[in-house]
Amino acid sequence: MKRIPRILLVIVFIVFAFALTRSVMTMASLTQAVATRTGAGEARTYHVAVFLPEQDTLFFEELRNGVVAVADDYDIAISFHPIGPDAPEFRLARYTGIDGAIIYPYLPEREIRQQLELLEDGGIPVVLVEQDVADDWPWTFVGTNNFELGRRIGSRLAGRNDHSRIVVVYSDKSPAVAAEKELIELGMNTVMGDRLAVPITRRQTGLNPLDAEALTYQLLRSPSPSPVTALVFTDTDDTLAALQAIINLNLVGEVQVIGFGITDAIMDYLDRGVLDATIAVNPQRIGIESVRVLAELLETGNAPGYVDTGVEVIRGTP
Amino acid sequence: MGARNSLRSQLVFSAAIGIAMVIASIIYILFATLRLQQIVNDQFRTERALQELQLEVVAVRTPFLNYLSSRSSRALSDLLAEEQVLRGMLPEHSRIESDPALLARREIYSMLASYLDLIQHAIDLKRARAIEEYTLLYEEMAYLSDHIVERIDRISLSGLRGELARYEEIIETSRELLFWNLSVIILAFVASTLWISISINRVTDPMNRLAWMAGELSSGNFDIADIEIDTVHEVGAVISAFNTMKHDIRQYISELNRQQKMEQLLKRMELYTMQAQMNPHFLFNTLNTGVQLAITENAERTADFMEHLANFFRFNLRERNFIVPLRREIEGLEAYLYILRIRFPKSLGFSLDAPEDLLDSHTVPAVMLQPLVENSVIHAFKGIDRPGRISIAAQKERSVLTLSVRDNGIGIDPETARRLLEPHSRDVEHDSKVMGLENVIHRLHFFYPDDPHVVTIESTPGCGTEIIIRIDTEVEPCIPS
Repeated sequence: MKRIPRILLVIVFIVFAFALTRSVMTMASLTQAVATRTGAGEARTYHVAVFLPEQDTLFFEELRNGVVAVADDYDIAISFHPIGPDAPEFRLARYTGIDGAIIYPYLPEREIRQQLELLEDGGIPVVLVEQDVADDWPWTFVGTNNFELGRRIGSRLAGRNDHSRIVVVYSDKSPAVAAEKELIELGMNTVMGDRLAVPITRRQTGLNPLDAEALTYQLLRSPSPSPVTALVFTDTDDTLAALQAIINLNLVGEVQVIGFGITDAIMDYLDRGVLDATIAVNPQRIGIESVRVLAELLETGNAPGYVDTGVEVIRGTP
Repeated sequence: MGARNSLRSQLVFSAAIGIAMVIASIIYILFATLRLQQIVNDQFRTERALQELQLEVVAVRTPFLNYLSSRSSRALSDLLAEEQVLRGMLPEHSRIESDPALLARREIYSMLASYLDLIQHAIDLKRARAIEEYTLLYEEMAYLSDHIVERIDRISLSGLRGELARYEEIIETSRELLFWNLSVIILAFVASTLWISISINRVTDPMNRLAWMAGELSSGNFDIADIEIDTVHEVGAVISAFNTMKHDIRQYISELNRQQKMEQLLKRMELYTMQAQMNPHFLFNTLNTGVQLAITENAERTADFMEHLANFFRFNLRERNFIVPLRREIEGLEAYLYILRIRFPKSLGFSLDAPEDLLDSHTVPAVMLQPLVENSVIHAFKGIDRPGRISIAAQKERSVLTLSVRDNGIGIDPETARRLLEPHSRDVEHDSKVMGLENVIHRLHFFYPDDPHVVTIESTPGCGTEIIIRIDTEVEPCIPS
């Protein structure tokens, strides 16, 4: 009987200790949660700003993924900023305390050059990605060799001899390719030479992912002395929209289509023979290589002038 | 030691522990509440700081423009004051963090630092009257200032959205914290109450037991166990005194009882003696007359018999001492044995072995052996046809004098033997029919109360009985005054 109060005291004390522990743990977790938000993240050695066009395309998404994937490996903190005529971030980049910049040069060449020189004056190393501006520029370029891209497209098209008319559809969604139309077509002409009955026709789509569908209808329905025999797309969304139009027009196999990208839908069309081939650039690799080259620049002050991330033309069912 | 375990210190210590526990819990709850307030406050601290920064960025524009427009010393003073305020709001060192929000803040701080440097540069240009340069610089700085303000807005909005998204989470965690804190304070109160209650019980419980013991003693029950309890010094002293008092009273009463019983026994023995001595002179004169008559008639054996009989009665009836020399006890026994040999010449045989050196050097309670022999003669040979034998012996081993009476009779069953040896197995006060054997046993227990084995019975049914008296010669018999 006398032991009951003592046992009760021990039990109450154990529950008290438990409640106190839970209280302290809850307080600690709350403090930790706030500290995580307001306080210390992980410290990095370098701050690199990545300037990309404000476009939610697969290309830029994968490029971002590539940058983020390796930034930690080089002890680099990454901040992404828009670049374009309406975005002041790039123009003011030299004031932001960054240690380096990866830039997709989505501005007029004169303006780009001016800002790049200001960054250089501020001691901020720069890597340009995907879209080269001029051969004589001193800044390192990481991306696809568009002449090589054109050559490979030409090789694929040269397999058929009945090309009376080839149309290359550029897009604002793939500005890097669109900016180097001449280089791509030069590559194509180098391979195809006199096989072309008429010069390569250029078309352009905007940022709307459905633009290509209307364009395809227009190209294939319009009466012309030299009908379109091959279509080359430089954007994934354009490819998908155009293929749907070709299927609807029942022209599968009649028109040779070379698409862009390696998404599941594209690969499915490739397997079914709707698509003859697809251009596979690797934006993630572009991102990875750009970080690697910039880290090299930051560490050593030297880097190769040009890093080719390669391009593939993947063939479908013959 | 005494002071530490005193009633006062125990009560003070227990109360202090209990109260300290409650106070500590309250302090913790207070700390937790303040910390919670701080956490909630911190939640929007960054946004508030950014807003203040933004206001200051806007505030510095006017004196800057005023200075560039007027070049007055007052405008310069205002500008420099604002510039200092703004510079004071910037962290001394902003390290590079992986977190995008922290990185964005770092960019703002860097842009602000650049903006302040540009202000200094603009002041220099103004002083140098480089109109074109500072005009262009003002444009650039206005552009930068607008961008800073716009970035702060974006970051604040983004931060506020993030904080609002987390607000419910923090409220939920706070609710959980309040629940545990409430549990802590309630349990601290319960635990301290229990602790103080147990401490008080530690003091009051012995007192309750003391009160109970006092009640038992007052009702005459002195066989209760001592109170053995670890308690405070004062109560321990009371308990110890009480236990001692109980022991003393019990011993005193026991002594009184023993003396009372002994007096009763002595009275009974005197009564027996008086009964036997109703007229000893007449008895001895008669026996002497018988002796002379037998001599006159030449019946020498008869005369001898009557003389022994007279000796036997003389020993039995005249002996008024409780303790007698062993020689007198043996002489009385020999007279009795002579009579028995005459009475039972063929059916009973007797032997007596008492070394001469023991007879004068030791004393024994009077009339011990004869009743034992008489008991054997009366009870041991009932229904036995064979000749009986009774052996009496005295011997000493170390300090123990052993007297034994052994017969080869029918024996005593163990239950009877046990009952006979059990002290006070019969109510001697009210039982007048005390047998000789029991009388001897009772007297021995009275004379030697501390030796429960002063007399033993060893008996094998059908083979005989031996009654053994062991007297420690170094122990004085307990003789009433």
